[in-house]
Order: sequence, then C-alpha cells, then structure tokens
Amino acid sequence: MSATDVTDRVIGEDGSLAEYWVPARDARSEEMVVNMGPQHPATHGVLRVAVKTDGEVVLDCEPMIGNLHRCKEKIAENLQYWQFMPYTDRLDYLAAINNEEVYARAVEKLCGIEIPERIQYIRTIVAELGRVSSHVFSVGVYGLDIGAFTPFLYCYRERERANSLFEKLTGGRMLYHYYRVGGVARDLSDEWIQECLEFLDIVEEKMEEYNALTTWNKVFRERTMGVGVLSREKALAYGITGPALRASGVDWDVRRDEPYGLYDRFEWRVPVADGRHGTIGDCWNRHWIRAQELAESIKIVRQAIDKLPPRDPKLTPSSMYQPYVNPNVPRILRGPKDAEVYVRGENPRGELAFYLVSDAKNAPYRCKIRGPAFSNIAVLPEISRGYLIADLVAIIGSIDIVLGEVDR
Amino acid sequence: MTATEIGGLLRERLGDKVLEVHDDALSGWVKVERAAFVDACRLLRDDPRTQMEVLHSLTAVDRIARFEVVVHLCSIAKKHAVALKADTASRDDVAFPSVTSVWPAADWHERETYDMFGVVFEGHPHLRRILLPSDWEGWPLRKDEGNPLEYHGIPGIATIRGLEEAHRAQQAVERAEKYGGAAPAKAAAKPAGGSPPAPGGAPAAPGGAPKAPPMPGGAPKAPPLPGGAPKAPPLPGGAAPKPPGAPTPPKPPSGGGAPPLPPGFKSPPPKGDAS
Repeated sequence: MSATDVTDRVIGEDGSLAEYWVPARDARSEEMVVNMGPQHPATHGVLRVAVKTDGEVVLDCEPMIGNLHRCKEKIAENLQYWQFMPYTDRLDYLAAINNEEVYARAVEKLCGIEIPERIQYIRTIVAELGRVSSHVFSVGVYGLDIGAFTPFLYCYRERERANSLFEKLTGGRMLYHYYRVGGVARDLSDEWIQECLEFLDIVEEKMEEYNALTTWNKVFRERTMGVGVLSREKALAYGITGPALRASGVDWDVRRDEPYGLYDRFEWRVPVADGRHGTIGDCWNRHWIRAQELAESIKIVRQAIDKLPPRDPKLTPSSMYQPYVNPNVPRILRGPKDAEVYVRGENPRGELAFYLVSDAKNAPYRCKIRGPAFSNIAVLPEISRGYLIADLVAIIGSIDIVLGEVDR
Repeated sequence: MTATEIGGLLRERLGDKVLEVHDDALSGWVKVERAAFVDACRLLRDDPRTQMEVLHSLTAVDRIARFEVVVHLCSIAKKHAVALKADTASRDDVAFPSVTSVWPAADWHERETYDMFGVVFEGHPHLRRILLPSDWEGWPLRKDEGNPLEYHGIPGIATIRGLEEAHRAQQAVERAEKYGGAAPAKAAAKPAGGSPPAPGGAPAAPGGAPKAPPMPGGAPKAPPLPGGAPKAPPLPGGAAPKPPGAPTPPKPPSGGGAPPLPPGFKSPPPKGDAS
C-alpha cells in the first residue's frame, strides 16, 4: 500500500472483512509535522510522536522516547541484588509482579538458588493474576484510546478488585515488592485464595461483557480491523514479542516454548491469530489475542490453586516479619566470578529479559533490561505509514506500551 | 542447538575469526572478531540449522580496557538461543559495525547502546541519542562516568549535596555566634527549620536560597571567615554576593516549580535546540 491511498473497509454481518483502497485526495492537503504528545491521552504516558502528515494521512512518524528515563541500569549496578527488586516494579508498572518474577529468576539462576515447590506455585498464581489484572486494563483502555469510554469503566471495575486482592497479599495496590530472592514476601492465606477464586469467577463472567463492548462491537471492528497490519516477517525482523507477535501469526510463547517455572504442568493454549476475523497482524487481532489470553491466564490460576501443595513447616518463617523464602538463601548474595545470565519471561506486553553480568561482588557488574515495549514501539513508523491520524492512535493503543519500560 | 554446536558451525565458516566459545549452565555465547561480526550475524540468521530470525537484545558491557558488544539472538523455528559477542578495539577506539542491515530491530538497540556507552555503530542510518536529550554530554553507563554537576541550570546531585553541606556549615556558624560559641558540630545537628532568625535582618533561610557559594563536590566544612572576627550576619568567605543587611528573598512556595538558583550559580549559555 502506498502512502497515496487510504484504506476503506466494509465489514459484513458475519464479521468477514472486505477491504479496498481508495485514493484519498480529499484527505490530503499539504505536508506538515504534527507533534503528538508527550501529554496526549492516547499515548499511555509520556510518549511523543512526531508525525509527518499530509492532511489527514500519516506519511511518516517517529516515536521520541526518554521522558521517563531514570537510568535504572546504572541504579542496578550500585545496589545489591535484592535491593533492586522494588525498582523492577517501576518498569512495567501495570504488571509490576511479572517484572519481579523475571528479575527474581535471573538472580536465582545466577546465584544457584532453588525454589521450593509451594513457592513456585504461589509465584505462578500471582504472576498470572498480574497478567489478568494487566490484560483487563489493556482491553478496557484500548476502547478508551479509540473513543469508547464505557468499556474502560467496566474493565476498571475488575481491575480495582484485582488491586484490592494484591493489596491484601502484598500491601501495595500497584507496586508490590512481593518477590524475594528465593521466595516471596508471605504465604497465601486460605481466605485470600477464596477471594481470588471469587475474583476469577467475576472476571470470567464479565469477559463476555468486555467482548460485547469492544471486540465484537461494530464500530470498534471498523476502527481496528485492517489497520496497522504487521506482517509475520516484519514482526520477526523487528523483534516484536508478546501478544503483538502472536497477532501476526507467530506461534511463540516463552512460557510454553522455553518452559520456566511450572507452566509445563498446566493445561492451557497459546492464542494465535488465524485470520478468521480481520487481517492477520492488524490492531483488532492484537486486541483479540489479549482478550483470549485473559481466559487462558484464568485457567492457569485455577489449576495452580487446585494443585497448590500443602504448607511445609520447614518453610514457615519464625515471625511475620520474615519473608517466605527458601531457608538456604545466603544472607549476602554474590554471583560467581565472570558469569552472566540472560533470563527472559513472558510478560503481558511481551518478553522482558534481564542480562546480568557478575564479577563475584554483591551487586551486578552490568544489568541490562530488555523491555518488550521498547522493541515493540520501534515498529510504529513501519506499520502506521499511509493510515489516517486517527488510526495512528488506534495503532499505538494496540501495541500496548508502558512508558516506564520503554524509557527505563 | 547448544552454544558449542553453534560455535562449531561458525568455526566451519569463519575459521579462526571465532575467538572463544563458552557454554555452561548459566550462559552460552560465542565471541568473534569485530571485523567478522556482521558476517557471523548474517550466517546465524540465514543458516537453516540456526535460523536466528530474532534479535532479542543488543547491548554493551564496559570491560574497562574496551567495550564488549553483546547480541542476544533467538530462533522461533528451532527454539534455541545464543549470545554473540565482539570487542571494540579499545576504550578510545569505539567504532563497531552496525547490524541494522541484518535485523531492523537493532536500530533502536544500537542507538541506546550509543547513548549509554558511546559505542559508535558504523553503518547505522541515523545514530543519535535516544533516551537522553541530544545535547547531553557523557556516556552514563561507562564505569568512569560520574554524576553531572548540572544540566541547563538544573543542579546535579553532587551540586545539591555540596550546597546542602555548605548551608549546614553556614547555619552552624550562625548558631555558634548567637548562642555564644557552641560547638558547630552540635549546632549543625539541629534541624534547620528550628533556628530563630539571626539578627540583622538576614535570617537563616531554610529551604530558601543557600548563601554559600556553590562548590560542587567540594563545599568547605567550616567556611573561612574574613579576619577571623565574624560579624552578623556571617558570610562564608567573600564569595557570596549577598551584602549584609540585604532583604531576604521571599521563600518560594513549596512545590511551585523549580527552586531558584543560588546566587552566583551560573546557568550555562543556552545551547542549540534539540534537533
């Protein structure tokens, strides 16, 4: 598709999509550069996009990042391994618990710490609950991006419940610091597990509501189907990960293909775009993958709660101020000399990875954070050329970035 | 495939340009010569046995004598991953071949590495800073990089600490004078907000503009007083431009924007706009 055309789409009653290109003479006037952001509400934070437009048509754009840069990698070099854990919350602050999971796994691999089985189950439960909480938010806020305010409020209702659930467990509603090297901060109580199951019931019931308001809504489909198409080849070449990659038809999920934790013990599937609705790799599919992953994560949490091993008296801490960790974790963590690990995990927005280089000190020599949103947003110019300015907002929203992780 | 197998595969094609193959429980990586880096990348991507179609991450590590550029690759089809490394020639000669021609994903990662380490990727289409402002000076993740003293009139942490120290010393001297030669160390330990205004119409202004000259990193503990006979209000050294008896500048409302710069603190000349 050239930049001289805009797309026109017609959706049949059965959801099938016919699309054709029409010359957009009426949408074009003269070239100018428009700044979107950094305060634009549809940019999920402080993203600034410089857009070269011709009338309503986007000729080119460039994301300008760095407004939220805190040089976390330098901070990590100056803190002990365990001290950096709360800082990882601030990367992808909508799914803080998943960041902690990856960092904890990286440090544990480097220092050779084993995790008791019950703690692994607890970690799986909270990590997948974090994904539910994050995807509920993403599904709702994507409606907000393209002008539907109601689904956001509906989804935020459940997000609030998830926040309260996390608050009961960790003390924080958004930034948790729940993981410890070798374990977690505290054990799950039976009461909390009951509340968690009730929460899952509610989300499962309300998912139909979300899908009716967004996914299958005719206006929503017309705004998102066929827009921002990211081909399979381009997605791989640009290092896209997460739901955006699976929406381009690539069957890849680190949880399944490079199994870590306990994910190989549960029955779940990886949703991949199959082209039955919309175009493979368009905004609608990215949204639809997220909505499906919500259901899969709920499945995993339920199974993990079912299989949760009984409490081990050896693990029970001596006081309520002690963390619930493997008792063999050394008091001072030191990595081996001249060693490095590269550990990645599937976060709600893609693959987060930590590259830790150790020089036998109690702080990492180098800590590289590979944020998924950083790689994903880099493809924005490629997939937005030729679409309208209003579509650009839909494309940014469908990539689902969190600037805390882009800028680090 | 393990890193050993991938290293062997590269040795077949590149010979002794493969410098080191490392494979253990923690990590697997292959180190090649800098000149062969792009070739090795292209081989790994195109060889049907490796099929590294995804560049997962590209970064650098400061090895003091040189910079080590590390690329983490993974294959979706083959479900394996490896890291490929190469060194820059030295700490000063930081040129490194760009792999944007192999994976477009390297574009932003190389810009970030340039931003943080100053490694210059040759062949990158538009190598410039990405996270930091374009007029920033220095390479933050280098091991010898200190805290900047200021940026566009915003004092850095070293400057702020120096100012705070000078401010506390100033207060200690004021108290010692008012209460008849109390030990400055003891007086300085008191909270700054609790001190009554000094006579002479120039009270100690907690939170206001510090009167000490900004000495980043090297603020004097006990400011030398001219002639050894302190007058009210005492001034540290002769450098503070505030004359005795001058009205105190009004205290800025809390939370209302950036605090005013202390007197004598010069803003740098305005630089060109970020372009």
